[in-house]
Amino acid sequence: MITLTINDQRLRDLGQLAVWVGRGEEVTAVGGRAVAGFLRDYLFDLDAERANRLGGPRTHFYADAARAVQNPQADGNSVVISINHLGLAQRLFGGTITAGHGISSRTGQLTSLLAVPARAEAYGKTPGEFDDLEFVPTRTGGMLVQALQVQIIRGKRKGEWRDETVGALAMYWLVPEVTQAADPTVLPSGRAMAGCAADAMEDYLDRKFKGS
Amino acid sequence: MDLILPLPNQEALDSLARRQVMPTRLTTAELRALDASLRSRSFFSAQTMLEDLLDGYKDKITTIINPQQISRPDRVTAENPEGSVNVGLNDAYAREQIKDLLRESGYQPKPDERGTITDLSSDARINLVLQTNKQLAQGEGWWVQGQNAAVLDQWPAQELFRAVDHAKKRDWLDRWRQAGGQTGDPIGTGWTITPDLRMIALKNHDIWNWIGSSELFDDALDVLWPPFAFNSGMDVRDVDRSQAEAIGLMDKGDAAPEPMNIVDALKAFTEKISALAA
Repeated sequence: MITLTINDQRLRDLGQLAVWVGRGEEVTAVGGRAVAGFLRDYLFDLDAERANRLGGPRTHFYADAARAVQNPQADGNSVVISINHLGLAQRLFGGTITAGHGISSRTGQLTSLLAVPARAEAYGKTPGEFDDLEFVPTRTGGMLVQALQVQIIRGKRKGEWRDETVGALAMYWLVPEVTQAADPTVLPSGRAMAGCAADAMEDYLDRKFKGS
Repeated sequence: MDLILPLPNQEALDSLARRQVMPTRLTTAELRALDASLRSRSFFSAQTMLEDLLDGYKDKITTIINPQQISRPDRVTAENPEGSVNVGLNDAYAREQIKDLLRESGYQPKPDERGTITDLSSDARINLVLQTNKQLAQGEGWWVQGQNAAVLDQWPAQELFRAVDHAKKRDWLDRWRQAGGQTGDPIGTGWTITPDLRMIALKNHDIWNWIGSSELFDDALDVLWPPFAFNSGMDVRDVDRSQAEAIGLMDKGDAAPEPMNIVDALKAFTEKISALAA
């Protein structure tokens, strides 16, 4: 969840003017709605531009975030907007995610490794949604692979099938931590948002002064 | 731009809370025959009698649309000095938990339905229920938040637009014409299609009662807000007064649409639909 406070000198000046003419609440509501609409459009556009990195079916992460943009709230001369969406803050600010905070769907214990999709089919799904993954340890953690079905050709079990992980497809890499770089482009700049709010507030006040 | 304490999306949460879980054996087509106001007050999924499952869906969607923020020392950075972390569910974990719930209840799909939309444990079915109900709550929240006199005065109209691209697209321009036709207002009066094929109408105009009405469209959700129909990919955006005037929906100085409350809006919607069905 991200909550943004948009506040610059032009907004403060317009806010003060609005209060002075008895339209403080209305003008703040207009400024907030302007930013919210601008943010929604920005995130819907990002959704159209940015497909899943690994390909595969779209999860429409940014469209989900766009729909989570919510009602602006008046806070003095600033405009406060929340985006109630899981994951957007991590993309915006980046940082290191470490295992040990969530519960593993496999063991029911605290996670010791994080699962990072290795193939398009794994994107937008959890390892728990697959019933054919096998753990293969590696030097840095491990991987979850979709085991191959190999027919036994000798011995007592000849003709039976067994799971073979050598040469199998890795669906997830398992790592103790992941560090993601901050991506400030997942939101428009503070200046652009403030400008958008101020333009709408100015237009509203202008019309009210002119009586149109 | 600062990070401050998060605000819950109260209107979307209210929308979910208002809807009572309704287990039903009815199919989608049979559900459409029910009173629209009953459907708008209910949380259901076609041919789903498992009350625990519907409760589970409602809980998961509430968590998805209202993630919580906690502080963790290990996440403190220069950009995030409070170490704020969002916790909650995303769609993938919600889907996994719904599958667990179905497993625990002993649910087994019919062999010939496995993996199809009628299989309650299929990805397609769970995604449809999660996405539809999440978007309905958010759409209602955005609608309620927009019913403010100053906001309606500044943006008296809104545009129906394709927000998410789908491989199979329905003809929304045709739907728009059909919905507009039901209002009795000729095109250009309250609703319009611009030369570059944008679908725009005054907010609270009658066309919004029809574009999501199952009396006109089989896949409609009987709501006045996006997504209007199952898997539509459609949404709305505000259109300001100067644009509304430029495309002829308003004259300079015209009064803005009156704000509506949710109860009156749903009542008006039900009356329209019932009148057509009678």
